[in-house]
Amino acid sequence: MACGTTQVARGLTTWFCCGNAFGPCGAAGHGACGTCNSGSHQCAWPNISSACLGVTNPGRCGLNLGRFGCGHRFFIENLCNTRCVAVTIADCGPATDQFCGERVCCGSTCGTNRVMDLTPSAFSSIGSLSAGILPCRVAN
Amino acid sequence: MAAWDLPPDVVTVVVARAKRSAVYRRARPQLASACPLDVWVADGLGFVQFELDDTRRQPAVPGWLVLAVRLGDGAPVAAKILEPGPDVATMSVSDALVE
Amino acid sequence: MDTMNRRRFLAATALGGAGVVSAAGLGMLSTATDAEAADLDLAGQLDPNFLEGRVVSVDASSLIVLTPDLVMRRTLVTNGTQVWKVRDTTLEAVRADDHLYARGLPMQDGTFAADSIWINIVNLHAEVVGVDASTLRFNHHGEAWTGHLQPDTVARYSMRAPSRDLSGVTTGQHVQVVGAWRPGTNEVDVSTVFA
Repeated sequence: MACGTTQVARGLTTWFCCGNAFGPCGAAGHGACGTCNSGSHQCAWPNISSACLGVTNPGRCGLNLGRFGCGHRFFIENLCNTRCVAVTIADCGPATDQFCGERVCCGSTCGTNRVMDLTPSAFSSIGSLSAGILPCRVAN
Repeated sequence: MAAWDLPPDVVTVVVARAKRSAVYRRARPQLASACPLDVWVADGLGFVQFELDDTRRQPAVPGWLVLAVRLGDGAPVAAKILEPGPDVATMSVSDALVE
Repeated sequence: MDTMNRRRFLAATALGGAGVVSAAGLGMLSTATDAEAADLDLAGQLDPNFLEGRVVSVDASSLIVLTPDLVMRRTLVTNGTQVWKVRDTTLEAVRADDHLYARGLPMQDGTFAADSIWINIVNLHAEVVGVDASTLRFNHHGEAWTGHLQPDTVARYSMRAPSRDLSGVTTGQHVQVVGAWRPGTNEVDVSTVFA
């Protein structure tokens, strides 16, 4: 089964917590869209608004990421194992410009630059949370 | 604060009416925050859900306060405290409307 | 859909009588069908195959977990369950007041059969303040944190092989820290540093 149809970006995904959350996540809130929960299949995207783009600044890494707003559905593929998850945008992120050029590989499959941030439930459906960062493909 | 899929003026009215109630004033010291977890409208009633601060409760049990107010006159019609139940997959419900 | 279930449950409970009620109305009891199709149908939804919460008690083969929905869930742990707490470990490493994420299968009786459990796991964007042989001090969202380096802590650099050598982590650098949070503190036991 294909993971989405049209590629939007290829790079790295991390994971983050939001909503009713413990420890360092206790003050995270429900994200820029007000709907984010760690247990839901959701994500953060670097260009949900002009204000968001000003914070994540993927252009500094040479990335031109299209604008997609709260609630938009993406398909995220873990390039290490081809597992796929559908998510909706619930927050602004990741901090792309703080990690320009970052490269993570699994064998010969690599991703460069952070383009996606998933909730724990979404990330764990395609990989182990302890992996932290994975090469990924983002598609509509 | 979340948008709760309601027009802002509706949220304001529902939350304001809930907070004017005696049950809210009694419960306020036990709340984790004056900002509701959720606000919605159903069947002519406004519902407001607050989180209880388990560090300020004896015993220290997490919980919610759910208030229902009439949209017309703002009168509270129900208020319940919800806490983890004695058994797995259950919740304990106690009435907060009466003092 | 899950917000609607939750609101219906809470409204009915608020308007009903006092006592003990089943929390099934919170929509958490469901069975997984085809895993791949189910994942694609869950965009934006709570995943019934995912559990998060605080450990209330531990016994030989299960945990009682208090979820953010204030529901106690018995989480079954078998020899096939992968348990992570700083590193791959066993149920014996889990303590009351630990927090967890888990992935598995919700059973009809309300229990949760876990395939994977991550205890206190955090994934923090960190600005390095200092690093020495045993600690990585960093700021996370403006707060000061201490990362306790373990004998098996690994640094993963972009263009180098993973190693135990953290000399490539420098003050002022932005890194990602994967580790196990120590409950009630601003401290983590560090598993991996992405630098």
